[in-house]
Amino acid sequence: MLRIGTITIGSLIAAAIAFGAHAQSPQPTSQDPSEQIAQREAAMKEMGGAMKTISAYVKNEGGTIEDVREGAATIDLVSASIVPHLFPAGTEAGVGSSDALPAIWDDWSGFEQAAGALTTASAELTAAAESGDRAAIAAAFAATGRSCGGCHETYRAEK
Amino acid sequence: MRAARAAWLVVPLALASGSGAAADPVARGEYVFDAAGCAGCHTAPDGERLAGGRALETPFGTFRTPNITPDPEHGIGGWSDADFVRAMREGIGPDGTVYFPAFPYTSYTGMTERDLLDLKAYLDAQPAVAQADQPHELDAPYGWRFLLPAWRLLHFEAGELPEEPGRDPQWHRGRYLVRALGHCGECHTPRNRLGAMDEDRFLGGSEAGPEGRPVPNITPHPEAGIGSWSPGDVTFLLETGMLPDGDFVGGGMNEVVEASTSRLTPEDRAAIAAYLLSLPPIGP
Repeated sequence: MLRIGTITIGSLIAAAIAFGAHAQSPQPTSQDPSEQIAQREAAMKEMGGAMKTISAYVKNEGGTIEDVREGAATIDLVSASIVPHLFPAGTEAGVGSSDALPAIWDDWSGFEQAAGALTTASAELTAAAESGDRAAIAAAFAATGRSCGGCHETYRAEK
Repeated sequence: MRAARAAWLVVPLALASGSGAAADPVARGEYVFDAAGCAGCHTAPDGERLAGGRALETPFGTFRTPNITPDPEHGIGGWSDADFVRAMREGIGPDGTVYFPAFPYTSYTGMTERDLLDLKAYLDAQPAVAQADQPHELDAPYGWRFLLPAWRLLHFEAGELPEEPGRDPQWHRGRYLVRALGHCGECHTPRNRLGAMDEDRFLGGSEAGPEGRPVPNITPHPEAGIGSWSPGDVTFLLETGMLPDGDFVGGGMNEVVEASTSRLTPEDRAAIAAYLLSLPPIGP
């Protein structure tokens, strides 16, 4: 099981469900901003690792359909946590290692919309992975990547 | 391998490399337009396409991009071919106005005449929008246009890129795409106090890129840059936005990928990768 700090992705999701997927403000899973940022960064890295795995399959450079399904599941889990948990107030760039721009909290509904694009794309990726159709996986991978970049474009300070 | 890759491409490459494109200046010009990334700066968020008005925040103040639709009054509809070529290559408008180097004529000066005229044919074929330009809001002395001719003398060298002996056609094509059309250095190269690119640190990254955000080093330095990347890592980023570790670029580069590099032919992306990885590595 994927572990982020002292919690698992599974517990993040359980918490997401408990607080409701449409919570208006983020519900952190820790009270310590540096721990919150560490969890977020670990979750994002895990999602990036999944995208890398899927890209290898898409490029025919290794990886099985099982790897793709597992990767898509990871992306589903992380993406469901973004709005309800991963961006609590007080974790913007300047705090710890955060690269999260204040625009996230200044424009929370815009941020929710950008995160929603990932949730939609990742659901399609999961469906494509289940079907095993390589072309559909490739298209869904590209769409998921565009949603990653779309959010980073506006809401992340590049390193 | 190659066929498997082509199967998932979401980019309409036929537009770029089809035989029809070769014959038609407008289609060829569209490819130049994408490679040069014109749409990004010349279209405001939620604005009319190419009608300008996008605010570019820089250390020198806020520039507001002009209308480049063929509208005869507010755009470039009344321009001759010679007017257009001079503006792009020398940074001087038809009425003699000297442009601020926020418009990257310092890069476009390397464009071939053929590409410039194809680009004009494409722009002339776009819908005209009657929208007046808005003034820049610049800090003194950067906003003083009468100082711009002196800036040009100090920092501008006009003309196409010279042939480099010992380099193959792919490298030359890559250099043209990076330096002239793609104007990558405008963001990825640090600038001096007067806004000129520091050629000694070409593509070595900038602390103060667009909107004050840092822009990474894309020279092949093993730690500070992309020295550990394969050519395939570079081309995949240019096509999809994915970094080698699975992260996806943002900070303005996502837009560049969508509007520009993902629309290039695989050969052109490979040429960019070959050129970038051939550059002198620049350390931190």
